[in-house]
Formats: sequence, C-alpha cells, structure tokens
Amino acid sequence: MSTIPKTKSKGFDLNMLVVYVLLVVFAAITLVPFVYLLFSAFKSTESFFSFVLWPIQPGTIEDPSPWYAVDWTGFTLDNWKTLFLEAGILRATINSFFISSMTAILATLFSAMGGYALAKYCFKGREAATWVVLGSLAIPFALLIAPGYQLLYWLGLLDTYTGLILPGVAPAFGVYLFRQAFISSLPDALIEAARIDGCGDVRIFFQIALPMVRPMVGAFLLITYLATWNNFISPQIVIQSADKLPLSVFVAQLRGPYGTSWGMIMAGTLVAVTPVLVLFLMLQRDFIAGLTAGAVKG
Amino acid sequence: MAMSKAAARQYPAWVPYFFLLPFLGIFLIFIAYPMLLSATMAFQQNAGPGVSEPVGLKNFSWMVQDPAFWIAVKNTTIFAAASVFIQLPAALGLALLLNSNRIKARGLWRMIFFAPVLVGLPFVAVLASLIFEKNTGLLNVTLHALFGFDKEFPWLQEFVMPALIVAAFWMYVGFNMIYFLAALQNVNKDLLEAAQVDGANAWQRFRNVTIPAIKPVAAFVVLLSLIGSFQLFELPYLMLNESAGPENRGLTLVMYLYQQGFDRGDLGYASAVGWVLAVALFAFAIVQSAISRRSEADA
Amino acid sequence: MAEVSLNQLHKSYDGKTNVVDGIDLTISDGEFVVLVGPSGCGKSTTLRMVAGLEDITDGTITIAGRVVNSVPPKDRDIAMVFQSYALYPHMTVYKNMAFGLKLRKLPSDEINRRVQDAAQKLSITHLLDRKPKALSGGQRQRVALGRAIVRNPACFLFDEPLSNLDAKLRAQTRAELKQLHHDLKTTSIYVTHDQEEAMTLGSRVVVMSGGHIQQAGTPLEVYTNPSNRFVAGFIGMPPMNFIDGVISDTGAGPVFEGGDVRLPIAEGLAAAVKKVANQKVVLGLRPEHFSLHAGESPHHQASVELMVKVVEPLGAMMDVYAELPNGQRVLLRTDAQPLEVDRSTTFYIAMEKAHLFEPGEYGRNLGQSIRTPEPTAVSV
Repeated sequence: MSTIPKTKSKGFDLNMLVVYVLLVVFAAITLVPFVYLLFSAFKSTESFFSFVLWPIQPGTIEDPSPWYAVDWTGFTLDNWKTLFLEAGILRATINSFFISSMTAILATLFSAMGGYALAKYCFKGREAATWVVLGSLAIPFALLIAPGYQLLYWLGLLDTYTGLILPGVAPAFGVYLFRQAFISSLPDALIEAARIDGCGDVRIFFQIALPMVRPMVGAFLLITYLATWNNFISPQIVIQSADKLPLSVFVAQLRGPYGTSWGMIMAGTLVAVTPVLVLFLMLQRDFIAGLTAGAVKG
Repeated sequence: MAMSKAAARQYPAWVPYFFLLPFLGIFLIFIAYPMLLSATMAFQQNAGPGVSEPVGLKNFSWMVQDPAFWIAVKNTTIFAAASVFIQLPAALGLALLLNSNRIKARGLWRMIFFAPVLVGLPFVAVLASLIFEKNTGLLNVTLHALFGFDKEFPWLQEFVMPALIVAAFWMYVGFNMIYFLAALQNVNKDLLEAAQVDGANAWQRFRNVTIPAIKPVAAFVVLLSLIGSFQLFELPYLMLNESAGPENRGLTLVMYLYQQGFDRGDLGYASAVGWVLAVALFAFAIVQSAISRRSEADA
Repeated sequence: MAEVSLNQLHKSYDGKTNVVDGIDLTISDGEFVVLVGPSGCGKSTTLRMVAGLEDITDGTITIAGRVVNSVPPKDRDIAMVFQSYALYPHMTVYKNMAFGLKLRKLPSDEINRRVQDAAQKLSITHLLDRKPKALSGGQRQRVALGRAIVRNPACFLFDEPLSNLDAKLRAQTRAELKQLHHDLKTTSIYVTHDQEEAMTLGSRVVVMSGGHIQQAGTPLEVYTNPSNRFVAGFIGMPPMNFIDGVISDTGAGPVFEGGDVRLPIAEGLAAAVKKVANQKVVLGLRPEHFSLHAGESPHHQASVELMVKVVEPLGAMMDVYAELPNGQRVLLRTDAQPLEVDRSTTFYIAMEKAHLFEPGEYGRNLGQSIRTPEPTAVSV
C-alpha cells in the first residue's frame, strides 16, 4: 500500500521497539482496572481489603509467600448469592435489556424514517425540517433535564418506562446520520426502479432503502443501545420504584450509606458491564464505522 | 437525477410527512416544548414540580452570588481544559503510535484502548470510587509498591479534580483515539509520498501534510469533548458517593443543576442553570465553527 | 405492444426555463426510437416523463391509447433499464428479475417460467443465484435487461444502458439488443448521447438539443440529410467540417468563397443558393468527402490546396489534419497512403455531397428540401 522504502523492515528497529513499549504500558494501564474488577467480584470482604488483586497464602515476615502462591480460600461466590438472591439484580438486568432494546429499536427506526424523508423526498418544509435537525444537534441535554422532568410530571409519565423511553426515540443525531447515509449509499435510480416494479413507498423503505444502509442500521442500533444501557441521569430522575430501575442506577445504589460489601458492588458492576462489553467487542467494526461516520467523510 | 420538484404522481403527497412524523412528533413534545418551557421556568422559583412562583431575574442574581456556583464553574472549566489539553493530545499520540502500517495486530490494540468507554460512565465511576480509595484502592497500593508513593494519598478527599481527570482519561482516551486514527488513515498517501519525494522529513511531513488533513476531525473531537466535559455529572457524583465531595471539591455545573432541581426541588432555578450552560456551549460551537471556517478559507 | 405518443410535451423545473420545450413524437407499435443529443438536451427528462418518474409540466403522453399523465409509473405498463442498472444489491439475480412480478401478484409458477425464459434468452441462467455484486458489468447489464423483459411490458425505456460498459462490450451488447428487439418487437425508446449507438440501434433517430427535436428520421436520413448545422455536426464521426463564407456568382455558376478557397457549388444546390447569393453561409464537408485522387469517382471534381499537419493512420483509412490557406483546421478521412507532413497537398472534394447552412448554431440546411423531395418522418 505504500511505496515508501522500508529501510529497516527486517531486523532490529529501535523506533519500533519504543512504539511497542509505549503501547504495552498504555495497554497495561487500560487493562489493569478490568483485572481488578474481575478479581474483586469474587473476593470475600476480608481478602478484598488485604489484597489488591488475588489473595496470597499467608507467609512469615522472613519468608513471604511469592505472588503465585494463590490463596484459593480468599475467593467466594457469596457476593453473587447476595446479588441475585437478596438484592435482585436479575430484575434490574431485565429492565436494562428491555429499556435499551426498546430505545435502540425505536430510535433506529424513527431516525432512519426521518433521514430517509429528508434525503430522498422533495416536499414543502424539507429545508425547514433539515434545519430543525441540524439545529437540535446543538441542544445540550442539560438544558432539558429540569423542564423535561416538569413535562413528564404533567403528563403523568414519571416512574414509567414510557417516560424513560419515549423522549429518546427520535434523536436528531440519528436523523442526521441516516440522512447522510441515504444520500451517499442509496442511488435514486434504485428507488425509481422499485417504483416501476410496482413497489409502494413503505415497502421501498423497508425492502430497498433500509438494506442499502445496513451498516448504519447496525452501528446506530449499537450506539443507542450502549448509550441507553449506560445512561444514569435519566432513570435516576424519572424512575422511583426500585423494581423498575435499570442496572446503572441499581449498581450505584448497591453502595448504601451504611457499609456495603465492596465485592458485591464489583460483582454487580461486572454483571452490568459484561454483556455490553462482549456484544460490542464482537461487533466493534460496525460500531466504530458508525461512530466515525459523522466526523470523517470518505 | 435530482428529485423532481413535484412528482406528485409517483407517490401521495403525505408520504414524506409520514416518514418524518415520528421524529417531528417526539421532537416537538420532548425537545422543542421543554426548551420553550425552560425559557419560562428560568424566571420561576419552584418547590417541587407542582408549585411555582415568578421571580423575574432573581434566579440569575442568586446564581452569581452563590459561591457553590462559582466552584462548579471553576471545576467544570478545569475538567474541560484537562480534556482538551491533556487527554486529546494523548489520544492523538496513541493514534499516531497505531497508525504505522508496521504495527502488528492493530485491531487488537485498538480494541484494548477502546474497551473502557464501553464500560459506561456510571460503572466507571463506581469502579473508580474503589480504585481511588485511600488505603486499599488499587491506585495507591500500586503506586506505593512501585514508587513508594504515599499510601494514604487522599484522592477522593482533597485531590478530587485530579482523580476525576485521571478516571476520565482512562475512560475516554481510547475513544477519542478512534477518531484521530480514522482521520490519520484518511490522510492522502500520495500527498505524503509527494512530500517525501520533495525532501520533507518526518516532522515536516507531519506538520505540513498530516496536521492540515486531520484538522477538521480534530475540531470535531474538541467540540465533542467540550460538550461532554461541560455536562459532566455521573463521574464525580458516583465517585463521591452521590455527593459533591468535601467542600464541593467535585461539584460540576450539571451536578449543581441536579442538586438545585432535585435535591432542593427548585426546577426553575435548575432551568436557569441549564440556560447558562447552554449559552456557554452555544458559544463554544460558534467559536469552533468560526475557527474551522477561517482555516478552511486559509486552505 | 403499443404506440407511444408525446404531444406538446413541456418540462420546467423552475417555472421559467423549459428543459423540454414542446416535444411532438409518435412512436409506432414495435418501433425502436433513439433519442440522441448532448447532455442537457432534454432527452433523459423526456424519457423519465414517459416512465412517470418526472412530473409533466405541460402536454400529454399517451401509451397504447391511454393518456398516462397522472398514472403512477407502476401502472403505465412500461419497463426501464437504467444507466446504473439499478439492481437491488441485496437480492439475487432471480429475485431481482422476479420482484416486479411478485409485486403484481403473479402465480409463482408463472413467475418462475418467465424468469427462466428471460434468463435463457440472455444466457444468464447460470447467474440466477448470484448477487449483483458478484457479476461483471456486462452481466449486470443483462440482468437489468432481464428484469425489463420478464415484465412483458407495452414499452421498453432505456436510459443510456450501455454507457457503463467498455467499448468492446458495448459494441457486442448493441448487436444483441438489436437482435432482442427483432425477436420481441416491443416498442422501445432509447436514450443515448452516443451518436454511433443511435445510428446503429435506432429504426428511427431523434436528434435533440435545447429541449427541442432538431430532426427525426432514419439513421441514414439524419446522416445524409441533416436538417440543420447542429444535426450535421452532431451525427457522424469524425464530425463534419464547417467553413464560413459567402456565395458569389461569377457567371460560370455559384461559387463558395471562404477560408481563402473558392469552391464551385454543385448543380443540385445551385437553385437553393440563388436566394442567398452574397450572403453569409456555412459550408459543411464530411471528412470522407475529401480524396487524394481526382479520378477516384466521377464526383471528386473540385480541388483545394491544404497544408497537411498531422496524419493518423487507422489501418485501411487515415485521418488527416490539414489547414486551409487561412489557417483553419479541417479533418479529412481518406484511404491510407504515404503522405508528408508540413507540405501543401491537393485534395479533391465531392462537392455534390457538400451541405450549405445558414449561419448560426442551428442554421438551416439550405439544400435539404431539394435532396429530400418527400421528408418522410421528419415531423411525426
């Protein structure tokens, strides 16, 4: 891909060594908290306070145990028992799955529909609608917190999933992304061909248009899903009943004012983080393509 | 092949509106209306969502007289500055390290650096609250073991802002790196080679080809970073156990808004804080677009 | 099978300028009509109005006796082949071809029969399970054709269907299209900017420019008898040479004077030029009407001295770029033979094949009415 002569492509290269050392250090700093999280979730309170990572068998001062002498009795599943049997994390997990799925699916559908209208139709008010979309990209979330709460109070939507989900299902950001996607990867001729073939407009949207922007559909589903899963402030404000809380607020509340088990909090965090982490690392290519689509143009 | 002006026979006139309707409906009810509402609420005092009373401009005068507000402004500004001047350059540096096509397993490195952002703010905050603990936290224990650093170093008691900055750095540096890396991969290879043929050294190539090419993305990332920084809430709120920390050391503008609106129940005052924040962010956006427009004109 | 007729067709996007400005054209049942012209001449817009993809500003379109102005595309009984082929990338070739039939709720065995038939006709049976991405340009083109054929429509519309193919494949596909039309005999309207494609494919060629029809006729008619200077210059490759000058009568018959040469006007044109004596005219000479030999045909009588500048051998023929005494360049095509550059050489011109035009881009052909006593299809 490059015709720049590689002067030292074989053999020892000091530059590359420095690069790799830097990368390894950075990667270690990045990964250590994950390791910490993993170990802490399985440690008893006692070993949690005595050992940062894994518990080590007790030795003497003259002859301390080496780091690899793991004390397996320091590990426990008690955190998990409390978490699932007493604290009820399962319910919060289901809530999180439900809220995130609903938000992601509806937001993707409505964004795609809006973007499609702006990209592929001529109609009165199209310019104005496009400006509304671009303009509302600049509205900060913080501005909507207080009046949004007031509105939900008036609508009687506080402490409901509707009140949590509905305001987020038509993000201007998504409409904008899909508008760009349709402009760049859905040729007009395809729509016209479908029209001549006898396709109605709704069917064109679902059978012809959406498949053409499939990567954006995937990326946007993932982005919205992740954002909703990790949203704290909205459920913190909107939801009051304990059985309706998603994981973000649930895990934060595990730390009560009166001494809670750190191990259990870490186990809860692990429960909250693992599904998304696995899902997103599997699909990272789509996800990253979607993230950078707005910023980097071909 | 532009769309015909009035191809009325191709589809019924209501079709485009049908597609736009969900967005427009939600936007009007849950974005546009609250925005207007907050413009009126900013001049009210509330006791919970049910009780309000007009107070004119008093919300704003109370705000400027409240030392806590200024602490929040200061903390938020420090955090934003650290994001832009420490975290973003580091992200660019990391992207440069990964940009060489001689790096093996670039995808794996990218995945590692990207992982923290997937954890999500509330969970990072909870995790960080343990890592920054005084005696037992991972950070102090590690620093003590490696460098003999003070094991009792009071991150969450006295050095709250540095702790926040470090935690945010850990979480976002890889995320921002993704943008820079994408931009770097898009730099015209022919241009770099032409510069090399012209005799430019590595630094000159970076300065004269790479930097101008990634400028638009850099501007975008800076704006994104500022918007995020000025709305910082979850990280300090949860790291400091649902508080602003001792002596409001971790108080941010949105946390101030939250305290006023939901702990004190004065949604009117919170709306006023929201407007101050929004105006600041609008100003950033305008400055940013002016700068990028000017540099486009230069190019 | 149907007759398609356009009546005073107008199209305007801004309400002021007409992109299509009063087109009258009747395409009889089974005819293959090619609309040809430079880009922006209104040919594509005309076709898209027939398809129903563009609104009609004014005028009427009739397909098989039915005015279709307000009929949506799907109900016009037409099929269209797009320049980009517009195949659905996520569907197999089979599904691409069957899509329109399925939407029309045809029974599945009927759909299958039609798709298989069309695939056989186009020899793409082995491609039916593939997706468009896995096909070459030529294969995609066939699939696009197949999608049109299976519909068995009243009329085929082609929008530059060959312009994305390379030259060799284009020529081959052109021949196949002609064969296909011969077999199916479906009324066809074909849009192209390539005059060669228009000449080889069309049973009738409609030359368009500026939203108007400049001339409509058989390929040979528009070539030998262009109605005006635009058509003369657009049809034919290499293009006709134009020399500005005046007609003067020396007593021995009318003479064209221009480009510092004097050329006698042939008998057939003499009557026509009487009216324009001493007026500015434009002489049109096709490259192949020059020769290096006087005796080659009884026609090459008039001679002219030209400075040869560039010679391009083409095999049996050669193109010669030469200069008139006044420095104007002309392009000639003659039999290949040795010729020295930068030397003044005598060429003989078949003046009875020359054209005289009124000045201006669309200057009328002064001799047309003489040569075509009965202009057959000019204003259908």
